[in-house]
Amino acid sequence: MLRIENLTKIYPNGTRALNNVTLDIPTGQFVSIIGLSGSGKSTLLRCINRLIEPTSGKIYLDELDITSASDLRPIRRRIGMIFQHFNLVKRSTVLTNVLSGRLGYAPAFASAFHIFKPEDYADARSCLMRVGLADKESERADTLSGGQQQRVGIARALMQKPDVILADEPVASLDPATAHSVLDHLEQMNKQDGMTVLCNIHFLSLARRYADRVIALKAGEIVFDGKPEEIDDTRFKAIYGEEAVQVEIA
Amino acid sequence: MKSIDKSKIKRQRIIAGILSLIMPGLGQIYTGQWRRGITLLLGLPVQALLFHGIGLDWLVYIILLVHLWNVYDAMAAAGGRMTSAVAPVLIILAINLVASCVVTDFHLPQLGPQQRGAIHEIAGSIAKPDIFQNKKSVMHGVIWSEAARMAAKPMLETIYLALLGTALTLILAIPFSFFGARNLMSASPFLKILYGFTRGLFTILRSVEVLVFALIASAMVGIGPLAGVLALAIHGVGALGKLYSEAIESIEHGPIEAIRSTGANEFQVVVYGVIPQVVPQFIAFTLYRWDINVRMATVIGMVGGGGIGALLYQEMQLYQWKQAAVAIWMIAGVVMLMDYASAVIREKIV
Repeated sequence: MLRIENLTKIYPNGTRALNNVTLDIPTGQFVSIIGLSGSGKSTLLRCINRLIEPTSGKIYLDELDITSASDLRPIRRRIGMIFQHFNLVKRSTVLTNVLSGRLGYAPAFASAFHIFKPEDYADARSCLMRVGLADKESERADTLSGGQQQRVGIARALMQKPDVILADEPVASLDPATAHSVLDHLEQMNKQDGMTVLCNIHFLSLARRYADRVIALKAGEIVFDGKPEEIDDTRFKAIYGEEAVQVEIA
Repeated sequence: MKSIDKSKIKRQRIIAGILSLIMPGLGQIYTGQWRRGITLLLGLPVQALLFHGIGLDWLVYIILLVHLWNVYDAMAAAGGRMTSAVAPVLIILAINLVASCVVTDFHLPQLGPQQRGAIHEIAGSIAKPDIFQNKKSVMHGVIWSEAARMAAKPMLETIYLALLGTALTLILAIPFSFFGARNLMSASPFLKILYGFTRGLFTILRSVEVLVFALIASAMVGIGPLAGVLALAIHGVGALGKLYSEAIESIEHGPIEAIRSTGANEFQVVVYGVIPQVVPQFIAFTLYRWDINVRMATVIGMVGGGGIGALLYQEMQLYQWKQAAVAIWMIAGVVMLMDYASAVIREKIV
């Protein structure tokens, strides 16, 4: 269970990115967060693993108080993150990128010399196998295509053996066919491994296809929270503005 | 109406002219051209004082030409026109060049037979350096001349001196460079102060010439290659540290965020997120520094840093131009080779 209470984030320049957001997300739910750029979707995800410090409010993961924790390590390693631009270390190999998902568990000194436990290597290889890139482990990350890079990103998150996956626009830089293959992996992690998935997404059609629940943000506030099929034309216009037209993605 | 306007402008022109005649720039200020007015008001007297200070009072008279232009400009300004300042600027520049020639006692050399002989000898030696043995000795299997064989060892010494200086710089500059990277040091006020301090240190080390460090080091540890190594190492920390820090500042932030989100601590973030991104630039900058250090090491040798510079200095003191020419050509050859090699390697890895 992920609980967010009265979460507010005001940036130093005065922008109120999140305004008093309260949410309960049961374990194992696939949640899509939709909304225009600048509506606070990314800020919300980054507050959950404290890449961004919230201004006020509380976040709990099960009974663990995330917002007041001083040691972020045990929290962050339970929360995997996937990014729009993949955020792989381009000059490192695919295997090193995947292994870095284990850094939250690895002792600092040994990992500084790239020393991991044999079972970490075995795990990394099985994660790569799972995303279909077993043969790419010694390639440099930047030689891979966009879809492949995102799958390495997924393998890196899998290495953490997380309870929660935060996906920040995971398919916004990919073509439609590749987008589905990436989201299929997220779906599998959700349905088979029972991970809670919070996924920011631009396309409502993708949210409809994959999510159990859709949350819409507008100017830092929740304007919709319900089942994907409940979003009709009126609600759509309330979220995206009067001018918006629904675009389908195959 | 029109005639009143005309006479008013005429009166203003005269007032502006008289003001600028009394004090340069006043007329311009009167007509509202503050910037040009203040420049003239401060600039011309300061220039006159400068010439007086170096004992060239006669140049002050030429400033009067600019003063006349200033009066003309003030009157034009009252009429609403802005005259071109190119001519007075050129005049000021020209008289300052005259002043610098007088101050440095610059003149075309008057070549007596003695100087002509020296030029002939030195240029001849450099054109025909004594690198190879004469034919007879070559037949006995000795190819390199005495001078070349004598210069080879100090040349190698200089290359190694530069290598060691670069290596020491590397060891010192790498840890410092992380403290000098703004993107890693913005989390707390303490880190920001540390950033400012590190960058300040780099600037100071960089702005003091290697020669000065070499003189200090040779006074401390004695004349010889060790002093040269220390001088190169310390000056290099300022130069390389800044380049390294800037390389760190230009990395992509996304991967850092990703590594951080796995639960990695800051040290692991640096090892896995920062270092892989900066390694190629670090290698390129380091090779470039070694290349610079070889050139600097020869000069350092002349002030007590050992190596080929020391030999060259000795030979020149003894007027052994043939031998000195060998050392000069050897330095040029090595520098060219290193320049080429480091360019090739940089192209390969970046």
